[in-house]
Amino acid sequence: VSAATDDELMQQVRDGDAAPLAELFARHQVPLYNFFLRLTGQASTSEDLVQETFLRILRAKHTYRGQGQFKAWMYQVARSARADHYRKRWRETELPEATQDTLASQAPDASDEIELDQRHALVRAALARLPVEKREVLVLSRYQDMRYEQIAQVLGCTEGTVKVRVHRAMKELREHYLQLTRDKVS
Amino acid sequence: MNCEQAIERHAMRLAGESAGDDLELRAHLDSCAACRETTAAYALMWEDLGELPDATPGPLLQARFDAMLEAYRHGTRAAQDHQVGWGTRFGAWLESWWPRRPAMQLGMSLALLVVGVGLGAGLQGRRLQIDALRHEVQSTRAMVALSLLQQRSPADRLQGVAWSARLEDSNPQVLEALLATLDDDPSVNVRLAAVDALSSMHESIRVREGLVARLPRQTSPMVQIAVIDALVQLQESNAMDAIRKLADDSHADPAVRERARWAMQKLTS
Repeated sequence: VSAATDDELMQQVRDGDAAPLAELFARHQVPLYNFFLRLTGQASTSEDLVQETFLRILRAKHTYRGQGQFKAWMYQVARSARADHYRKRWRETELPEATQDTLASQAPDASDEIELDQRHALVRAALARLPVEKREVLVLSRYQDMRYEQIAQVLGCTEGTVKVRVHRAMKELREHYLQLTRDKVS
Repeated sequence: MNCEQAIERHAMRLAGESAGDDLELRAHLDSCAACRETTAAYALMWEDLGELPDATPGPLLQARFDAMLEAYRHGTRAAQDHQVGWGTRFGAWLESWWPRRPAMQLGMSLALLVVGVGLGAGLQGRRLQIDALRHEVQSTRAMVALSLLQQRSPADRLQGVAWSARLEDSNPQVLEALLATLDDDPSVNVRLAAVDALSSMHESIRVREGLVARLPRQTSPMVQIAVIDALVQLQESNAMDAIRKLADDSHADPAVRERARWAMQKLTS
């Protein structure tokens, strides 16, 4: 395992040594896979997109400017790979209905021991019901450990716009969460 | 601060950087039970969201990445070797044109500078840059596909076929490699995948001709049926003779003959 930062490794890749890309892949494949999985709900598509992202990183290496921004740059590449994937296939970017049903069906049963699991199932189902652009901003914020400034860089907008989007996404998530709770109770 | 502003600010603090204490928000929450309840629910939901476990990708992802990286490095080395040979030849050719007299050299340099500036200005279009990038991605995919198609492992060759099918424009080298795979590959699965990849390149005349020419050479019934289906899908009427021969061939598998008769009906209707 290398002690070099992501930025240093990517600069080596940019300068013609492809080997450090393996270390970058080792560090980021799981978060990147989960980023795609939470947006698409499809494991095989998510694996394809991780592979595609790293291929694009290799090809676009000369456009990398450094300055410690590898993660934001990688997610820009990842978003572009996902957008092209769906543009090519003319599919909706919503999670498949089956995934939503499965997730929703894991919800409550009135026992204290499994209360936490129930809440997790509910929040997962609520997340799956969000439109993809709202889900994306929450996923970047909650799971990819990114600050507003970095998210703004990834999405190509201002920090203020990110704050508004996050708030709207949380509000809608909360509405779905409450709706799911009501559905299960009734 | 009203209730809506308080909830908004609380949500943004949850998701963003909590820089210090927000006295105004705290004062509002101290005095408003409804907002306290709502913000507590938001906080719990945010916490639950964070506790959802990460999924682990399958082991094949690592194997695919390793194959891609190795293929890329192999392709880059091959390209560098090619460039050295080409560069040497180009240098010798250039030297033969280069004037010997200093005054002429200066004149030639100025002329080249003018031509270079003109060309550079003409190439500064964003569209050109995007096209160039797209081309690079495509050429890398082609390079990876070609390298994988030459591997010993059938799984790698299958990956190579999959990469070929993802090319936006059919690359002549990849196309020939796929046709060669259909001819010679010892694995039926790889040959079947090659047929699928070729049929996705339906605009190429070379693909249509290649599939027609290769139908009589196939020995596996499954591959024969796949080629017949591809030719029907491409509505390739030139395949009629080859398909008819197969339908009339008493040594051919009954399922293949049946499929050939079906294909003849489809192509004549």
